[in-house]
Amino acid sequence: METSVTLANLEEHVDKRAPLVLGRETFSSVTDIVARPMEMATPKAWWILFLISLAGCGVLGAAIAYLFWEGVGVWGLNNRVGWAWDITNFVFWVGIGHAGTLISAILFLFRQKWRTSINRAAEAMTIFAVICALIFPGIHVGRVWVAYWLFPIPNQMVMWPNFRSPLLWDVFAVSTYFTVSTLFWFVGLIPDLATFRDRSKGVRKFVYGLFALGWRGSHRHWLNYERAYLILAALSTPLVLSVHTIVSFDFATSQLPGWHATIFPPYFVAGAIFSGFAMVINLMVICRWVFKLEHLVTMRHFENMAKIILLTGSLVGYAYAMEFFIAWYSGNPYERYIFISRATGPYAWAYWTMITCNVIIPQLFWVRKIRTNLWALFIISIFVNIGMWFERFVIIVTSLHRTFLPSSWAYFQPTFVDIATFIGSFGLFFTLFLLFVRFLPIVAIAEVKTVMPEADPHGHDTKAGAH
Amino acid sequence: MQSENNQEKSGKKYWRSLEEMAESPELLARMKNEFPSGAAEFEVTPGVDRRSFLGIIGASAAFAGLSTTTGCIRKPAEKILPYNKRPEDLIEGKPQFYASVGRFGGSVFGLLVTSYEGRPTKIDGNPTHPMSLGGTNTFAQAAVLDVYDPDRSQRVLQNGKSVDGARLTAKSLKEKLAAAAAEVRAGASQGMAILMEAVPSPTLLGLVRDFQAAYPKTMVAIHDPAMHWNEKTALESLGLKSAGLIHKLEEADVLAMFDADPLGIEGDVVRNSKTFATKRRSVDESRNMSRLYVVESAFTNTGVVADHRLSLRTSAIGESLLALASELAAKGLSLPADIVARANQVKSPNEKWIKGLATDLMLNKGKSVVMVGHGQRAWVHAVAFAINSALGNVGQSVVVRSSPLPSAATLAELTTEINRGAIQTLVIVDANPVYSSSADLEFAEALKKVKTSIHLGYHADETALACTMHFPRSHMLESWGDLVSADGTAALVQPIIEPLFPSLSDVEFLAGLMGVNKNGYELVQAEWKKSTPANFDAAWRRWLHDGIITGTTGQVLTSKPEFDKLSQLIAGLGESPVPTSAQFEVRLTLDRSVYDGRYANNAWMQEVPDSVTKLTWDNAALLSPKTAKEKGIKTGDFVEITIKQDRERKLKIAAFVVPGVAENTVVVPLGYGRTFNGRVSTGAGFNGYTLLGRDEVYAVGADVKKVAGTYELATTQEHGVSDYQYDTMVGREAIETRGVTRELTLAAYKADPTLENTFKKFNLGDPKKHKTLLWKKPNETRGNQWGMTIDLNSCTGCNACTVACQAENNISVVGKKRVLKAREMHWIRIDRYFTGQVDNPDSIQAVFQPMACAHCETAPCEQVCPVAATVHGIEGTNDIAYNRCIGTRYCANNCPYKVRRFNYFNFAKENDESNPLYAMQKNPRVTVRFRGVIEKCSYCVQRINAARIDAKVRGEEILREGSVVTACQQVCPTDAITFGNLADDVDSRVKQLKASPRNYVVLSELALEPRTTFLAKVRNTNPELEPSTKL
Repeated sequence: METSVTLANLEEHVDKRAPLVLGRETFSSVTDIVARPMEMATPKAWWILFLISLAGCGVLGAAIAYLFWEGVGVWGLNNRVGWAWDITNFVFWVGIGHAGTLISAILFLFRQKWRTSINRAAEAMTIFAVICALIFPGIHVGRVWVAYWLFPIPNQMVMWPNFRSPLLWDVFAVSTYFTVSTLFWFVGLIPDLATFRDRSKGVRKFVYGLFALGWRGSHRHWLNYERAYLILAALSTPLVLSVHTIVSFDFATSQLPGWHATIFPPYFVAGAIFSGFAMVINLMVICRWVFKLEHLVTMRHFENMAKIILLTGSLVGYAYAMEFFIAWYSGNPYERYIFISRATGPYAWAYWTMITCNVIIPQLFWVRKIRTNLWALFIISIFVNIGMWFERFVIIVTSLHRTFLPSSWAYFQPTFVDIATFIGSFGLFFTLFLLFVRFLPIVAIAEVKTVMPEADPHGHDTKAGAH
Repeated sequence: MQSENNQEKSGKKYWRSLEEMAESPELLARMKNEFPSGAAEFEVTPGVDRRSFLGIIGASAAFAGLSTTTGCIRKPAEKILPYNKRPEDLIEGKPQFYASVGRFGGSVFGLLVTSYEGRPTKIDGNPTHPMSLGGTNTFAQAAVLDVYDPDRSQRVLQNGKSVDGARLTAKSLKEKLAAAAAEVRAGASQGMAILMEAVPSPTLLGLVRDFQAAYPKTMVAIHDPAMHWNEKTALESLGLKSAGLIHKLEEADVLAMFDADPLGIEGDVVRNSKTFATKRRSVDESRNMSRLYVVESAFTNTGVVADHRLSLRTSAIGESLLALASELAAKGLSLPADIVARANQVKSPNEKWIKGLATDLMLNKGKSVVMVGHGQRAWVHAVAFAINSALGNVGQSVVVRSSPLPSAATLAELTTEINRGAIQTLVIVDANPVYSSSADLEFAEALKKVKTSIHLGYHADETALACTMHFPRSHMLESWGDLVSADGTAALVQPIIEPLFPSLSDVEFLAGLMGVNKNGYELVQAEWKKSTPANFDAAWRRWLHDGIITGTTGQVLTSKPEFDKLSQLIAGLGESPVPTSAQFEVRLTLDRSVYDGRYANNAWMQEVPDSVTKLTWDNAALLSPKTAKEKGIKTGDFVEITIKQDRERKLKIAAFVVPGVAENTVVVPLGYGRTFNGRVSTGAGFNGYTLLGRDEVYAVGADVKKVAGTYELATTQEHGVSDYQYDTMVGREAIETRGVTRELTLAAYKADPTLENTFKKFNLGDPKKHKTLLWKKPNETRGNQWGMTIDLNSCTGCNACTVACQAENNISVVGKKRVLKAREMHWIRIDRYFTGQVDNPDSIQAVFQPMACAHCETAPCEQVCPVAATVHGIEGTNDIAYNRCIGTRYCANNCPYKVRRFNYFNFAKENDESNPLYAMQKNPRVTVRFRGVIEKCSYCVQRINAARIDAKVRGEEILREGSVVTACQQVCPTDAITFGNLADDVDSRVKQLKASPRNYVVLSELALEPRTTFLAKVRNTNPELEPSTKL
């Protein structure tokens, strides 16, 4: 990491856009860089990480098997706190799953060309995070063997789900989001899969070829591809906003103080983008280093993401403050109590962890030196994700543990199984992500090439750069 | 299973000759095991006589299902066998009701037992019995579970060891009893004794007299674990032999309780609660109610209900009564001179308070009651009686009746005799003195000196194991007997089921020991034939039907008490020492859950939260927050209590900090720390009897010190709330900020009869003012529209509703570990809130609020269920289809009353696995819930449906008022719960109550329109006394 290279595109010039690809990379060298992880001999480090992640998957499987065998009682829940880590983890993972589609769809529509270097990995992260998220509502029910009743499947019982329930909205929102994100990701992959097909042999060639859907790079292919991509981007854009809005309805439409708040949809969406970008930074810092992507994933990319984190972190901080203000301003004693209790009650430690990680620490990104320092970016992003996990924990558990009737106040403590399930979900996430970096193009090759000077032969030849 | 396979094989085979059939090995195997479908699985170790067992239980259908299970198959093959001959009056699936009578917690009252196909499943009060009036208490509710106690004694023991091999047969039981009778006869020349509990049974007492006649050297002793003889001693010393007091609370306008808990666990609680409540519930109509003063050392149910409560150490309560006497004398009441002279020397514990009480008593002569607790010394009872006499209450609100119990020796006297070597044969009829007696008596040591000790008991308990012989006792629901209530009403104990295991009733045992080979039925009939020779059979049938033996009422004693003898009692009384942090007072009380320990193996009683502490599965040393703070003791810390009197008594016990306990006083409930091998009682709590003295339930001069270690105490309230503030913090939040429980003084009620201004501050965002609501109210106003009111003004927090609901609705027990995790399953719970200053025990008040599903019209739970498992019924009930529930728990999260309960594990299956007999208690009309589903109060929908069927038969659509009584309503000894139809065109009691100004909705601003509403509590405070706390 030479600083001269990494910082080369940080400065803005009036007459010249900063370059998005550094070094003297050409079309073919970009392809080589991205294809390298697929073509190289499997590094030892990959195996070690993969086995660790796989072990995590095993922990998840074992924890879930134990849960199914014994019942939901193996978690620390009780009759007052009916949800805790299960739904916390669900919202946490769904939140992380936000950045990918935001980067690919919304930034695409807004012509933010810097997205091209990171969108592929971010989308993959989204899909894997949503897979992790989907596990939790599935396993948290008391009778998993009839969890399919959540879906509107015609049945002999002539029973239909209750469309008034936000949980049902969740089912639709998250599954739609998952489907569209996956399609979007897959469509974007097609040209690159064809590239991989052309570079590989044997079974791999066949498999890549199968998924490349006969891509030949013809003019008509490109035309159709671009259209499909644009349509899917347009479809995904509202979903980015809707999915977390609907997840927030689980809380906002119920009547518990601490849950029942109109601020939730924007606040949840901001929080989701916040945590999603933090996760993208975490993953990209590592990928960039391991796969030597310094010329493609530049410091400018990181800085842009840090700025988004700073913005959304501040939005989230504003939401926290506004919740307190409304609790006081509404004159509602239950609302008031729950917020005072959050900050001073038995879960105050969780609340202050959240405030520290989500509001205070990201403010460091005001300093350019910090937001262009990879170590700082990496560590702060981890804090952001810790903070965002705690945000959901605080919302769910502290609201439930002291509700309307003081006789029914309780305290939730996680069990070993709670912890194992959560850790296991990281195992699953990283297993999928490691498979992704090994076998699929982690940078959208075709798209990156479009932001290189070579793609703009009629632009200013000497002033290399895109928008 | 083997036999099942054989059956299948043999079923298809044809036999060619009788010989072949007779010799077929399958058949031989089947012959050996006549009930082949695996009745063995049902066997409860250490063994049942399967043949008679199955014969007894008419419900073979249910058992065929149970017994063909091969372990883990979910849906066992079931054989439903119809009756070959249907028993008379029995329709399958329809309950039958039998009248009986029982003795629970020192009170005898009439019962109505529900039985399905021969299985008793529920016990309720007999409305015609004067001591029940339809209500019962927790103990009576829990008794039905005791029949199916897996640890009940099933063997004859000799020197603590079983001698019956695989199982005890009826024949062998008879032989053993005959052998015991021979031993008794052999010991006739030497001293003998019968030790029994205070059982007022004419047949049993007749047999005791017969025994004494046959063996003249027999001493009769009564074991009363809680030493409740002081009142009797006092009356005797005043010349009233063999007398007892009946307090007519319905006649009393002013009630003064000195350590007495007539609404909790002392005496005829059910009757007292019923009669007391009449003067509390009527506040709307009469704008008047009784006024209750309580002096006590820790909160009792009575103390919580009190209008004025004084927290005082037990040893000083006698002096406070003297202070009252002094005050009354000063106001011109003519009391015996001895009392006045002594009383004038006493320093009043709270002059203003005592003065206020004295004024009230003087204003209500003949309409007041002064009651003294069982734990107070005889002289205190005598002084109270003198005050009652002087106030003219005796004969009005206080009635002296002849006691149905004979004079007998105490356990202490018996022990002395044994130690003297005067007793060589001891017969113990259903008592457990080895466990439930003072450590100072060293009864267990004394028992070893007796050559022959023969014990009858329901459990192979501490005494059973220490005696030379033990016989299993039949449960009250399995035996014939008779009992006389304190007011003299006699009733017959009627068996509902044959004994599940060969066993003996009290009368059969005692008769058997005399060599009389008669069964209980014959013995009881013989006793009553003596007094009713003419037309006995018809009379007997009527008695059984009515549950009362007609024409039996006790004799009212009119002999004049001799108050001059009082001077002997109060002569030489010193002033009681004031406890300090070095010299604590220790008070031992009966426990509201396990009584003296006899319900310790009853899972329902272990799990029901104590009224005040909300503690389950344990007892603890109760300390006030102030005292605990001074000592640096926190809830869950171990403390060691040491009393140095005749000898050193010690107990290491977990501490529990709770407001309302007198300063420098530690209160220890008895009945825990059982050492016999009960699967429920083992490991529950600490044995308080190790601190109990010979004569008194309290002692001053104890050293209480914190020792190393902590202990987990499972409460159902105040999880994660700090010790020293929870009472005030939680209570203030609930009462003062949220208006969850509402309370006002009678004066305030009179000043604001519509109560519009009084509770204004709680009517935040009154939903009636909103033009639009998010959810449309269903507005069903026709047909049957169910609703409930709960009157906080009469609720005494006795927990009877909680246990009754558990019995009626097949609610699982979860165990201590899960209560610690707040996973208890009770559908109706009693919330308890404290208010006042935590450092000032006199300012602390408490209030009870029974809370169950309120059946909201716009229920938040219904809206959020993704699978529509919980939906609104057209009759206004909030229903759950258990089969549809997938267990997201969203409904529970969104329920503002937190009344929904989740089956975190397969609790019902676990309960049945821990004891297959528990299944027999289940109410067949209520679904047993599976793992992973939510459950909650259904307004006893099974009872509504049963009533609906009856109404349909009559051609009626609208159910009659009173045809549906919920389990909690039925049991409630204060009639605090009213249930009925709210429809527009119906006139019902519940509608009248909802029109009361006291009617309010908990959390009204949420616009839930719940069908259950509450009636605010009214405290009838004495204007002379400042209310303890301002509300």
